Amino acid sequence: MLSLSLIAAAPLFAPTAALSAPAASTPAVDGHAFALKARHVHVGDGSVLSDAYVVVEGATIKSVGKSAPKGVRVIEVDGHVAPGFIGMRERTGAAGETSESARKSTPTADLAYAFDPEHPGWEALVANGVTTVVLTAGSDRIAGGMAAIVSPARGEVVKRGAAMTIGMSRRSISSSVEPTSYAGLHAHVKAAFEADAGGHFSRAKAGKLPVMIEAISRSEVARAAAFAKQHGLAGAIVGAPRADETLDAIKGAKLGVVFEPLSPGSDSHVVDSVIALDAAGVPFAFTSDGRPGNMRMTAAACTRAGLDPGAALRALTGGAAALAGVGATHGTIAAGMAADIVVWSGSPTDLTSRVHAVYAGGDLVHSHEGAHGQGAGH
Amino acid sequence: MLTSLILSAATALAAQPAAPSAATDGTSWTLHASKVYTSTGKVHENALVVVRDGKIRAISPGVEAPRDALRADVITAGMVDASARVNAGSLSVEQSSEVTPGVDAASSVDLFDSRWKRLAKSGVTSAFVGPLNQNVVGGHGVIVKTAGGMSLEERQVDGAKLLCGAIGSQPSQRNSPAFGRPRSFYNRRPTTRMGVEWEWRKALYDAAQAKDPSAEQSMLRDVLAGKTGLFVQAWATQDIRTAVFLREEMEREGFGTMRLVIDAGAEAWREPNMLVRSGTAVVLPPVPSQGRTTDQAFMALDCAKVLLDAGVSVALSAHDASDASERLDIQAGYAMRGGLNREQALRAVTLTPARILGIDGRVGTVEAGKDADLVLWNGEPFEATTRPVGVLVGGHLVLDPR
Repeated sequence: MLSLSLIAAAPLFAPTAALSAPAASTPAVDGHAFALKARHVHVGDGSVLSDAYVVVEGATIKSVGKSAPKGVRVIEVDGHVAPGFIGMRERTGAAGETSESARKSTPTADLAYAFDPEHPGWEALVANGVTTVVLTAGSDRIAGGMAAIVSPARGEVVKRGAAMTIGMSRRSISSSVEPTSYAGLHAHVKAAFEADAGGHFSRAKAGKLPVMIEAISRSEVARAAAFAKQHGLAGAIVGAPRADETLDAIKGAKLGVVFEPLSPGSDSHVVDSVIALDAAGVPFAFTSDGRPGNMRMTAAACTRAGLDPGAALRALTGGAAALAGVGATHGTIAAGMAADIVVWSGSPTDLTSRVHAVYAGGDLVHSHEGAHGQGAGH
Repeated sequence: MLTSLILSAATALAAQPAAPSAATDGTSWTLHASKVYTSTGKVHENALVVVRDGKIRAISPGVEAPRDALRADVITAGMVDASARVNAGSLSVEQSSEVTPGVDAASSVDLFDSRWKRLAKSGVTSAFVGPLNQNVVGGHGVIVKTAGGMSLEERQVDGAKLLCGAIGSQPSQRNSPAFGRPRSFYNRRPTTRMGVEWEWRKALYDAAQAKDPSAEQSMLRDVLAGKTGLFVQAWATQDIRTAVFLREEMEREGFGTMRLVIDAGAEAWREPNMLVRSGTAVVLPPVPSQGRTTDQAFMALDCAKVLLDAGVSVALSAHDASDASERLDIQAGYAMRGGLNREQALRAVTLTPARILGIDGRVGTVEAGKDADLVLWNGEPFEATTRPVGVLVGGHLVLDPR
């Protein structure tokens, strides 16, 4: 039985968690509360607070406001404070471990078992402000497993069975094994939803379990959206670089979109799509895909083309958390949320800004030497 | 009296502006041409064609053009390509089996493919698309309008059910070497034409004799019963024979009478009587530049003429018209050079393919009540200097003559 509740202490991973936290040189405080005081606090929902205190106690944010309780150590930071980024598709350290190719579909495979908390690749991701990632099944799978949400810096699983990953793009079509055609692929997806051995498909059809459907070309996206609408699925399309041209279908199916990062030299359709989706009120987020800085680069390209920086940051944080189904605990700076906080030298969506410090679950897990404000404890 | 009534009605309709109002969703127009070729044999001169909500409302000959009408020298029905091949390439073929009647081209057809725009602007308004011709039995095809909405529901046209397949070198193209062992299913089981025919025969016999037919076998039974047409690509004489002989064998065995359409029948002209005897329609491929087509079949300009004279129902196709010189109107021009008169050539790209596809109730002629799929020409159609200057698909203006 998969546990779908929050695993705050991650009992399964507790032993490794103690050994992990790759970038943590020193814990910020030993279980004591502290407050970050910053001129700009980006909440993660699009709003920004001025001269605010973010009070952290243990692993969570205790309060956000104009003052901190007496006796709490205040760390004044010279810059901006924002929630840690959420990478919507990540496979760091799990290359080859997310594609179970012995079978066509392994819909109930648990991506948490592909998580290697000790992988050195996480450090660079954390250093770029990514505190939460969604581990998803390989793009070449049809129903490759249940996405797991993990905190790489803490080596903890945040949520298992977060979403069902479905492949409806040509990436799931092989040239050497069945299915080799869209018709064959669709037959598999359809059969899976109709047969439903594990009960997960029923939950997905009731909208209780989000789906992340990979679809790239406009035709694939239109089909995926129609399929989701027909079966009452909730969740997001992953890919859809031309989402602006299939907006009606995506909106009609009440899906969000998770964009793959722009790469140098790629066309600008992702940017156009992001702006169109934002205008239409369709939620969107970005994948990290193992390349640190990708998400912020893509968001910055969008703001340069006219996207509101608040909307861009929301897509990196609170909006992404909502799409991943952990909006109630992650992605925003508010009382009760996980203390995943990044201190930036400037606005997080400004590419000239750099990461000064990263807190994950209240612990300082990364700091840029000499740049952090006084009293950072290192 | 009657004439004046018609005229006054026409004038009243003509008073509607050419520019559509927002309420009509851009699908209401008034068109005028010196000649309207209807594909029914009738030609209207100085005629007004009134389009309302995507349908042809009325045709009124002998009327002056209202100032704001869309004008052209000639108007014809939108062309129908019964073998358009705007498929998803290898992704439309389920290569794990030779016989895949369960495949539906509706699963793979990409309405965002840029070829649709090109087809529509070339005057083709309806098209039949099957899976790529790599399987013995490839799957069911889909009939779509070349323009309109971006979902299949909006674009698909209900017509004849057609199961696509191939006889010839294509289905055995990825032959295994003469020796050695197959590495994957790419080394196709049929490596010969004989093997391809055997696969066909086995699939049909198995379906006919199955006590508890599978879903796919039921589809083949519909083919045997003539409920689903069999759309078989066969370029060369020997392959066309094979298709006809298969049909005759099934009939002899008492399995049913198949409705056969030969697609890409380049050499159908060699033995037309066989086709007449079996009531088989032919869709001709684009005329090859060097006389030889795929499978070394020989095709000359008078192919359509020979078949038509023998009494075979003939439609022309431009396939995906990737080369501008292969457009469907140019194919009709070639057929005229081969001996067809304009009316015959026009029918071979409008009414005949519409009948083969079973959509002639909606498209294929210029008649009141039909879909407003219309082509506006700058001269007599199919002449070398004539081209489509305006195209309407379901009343949507995809090429503006103004």
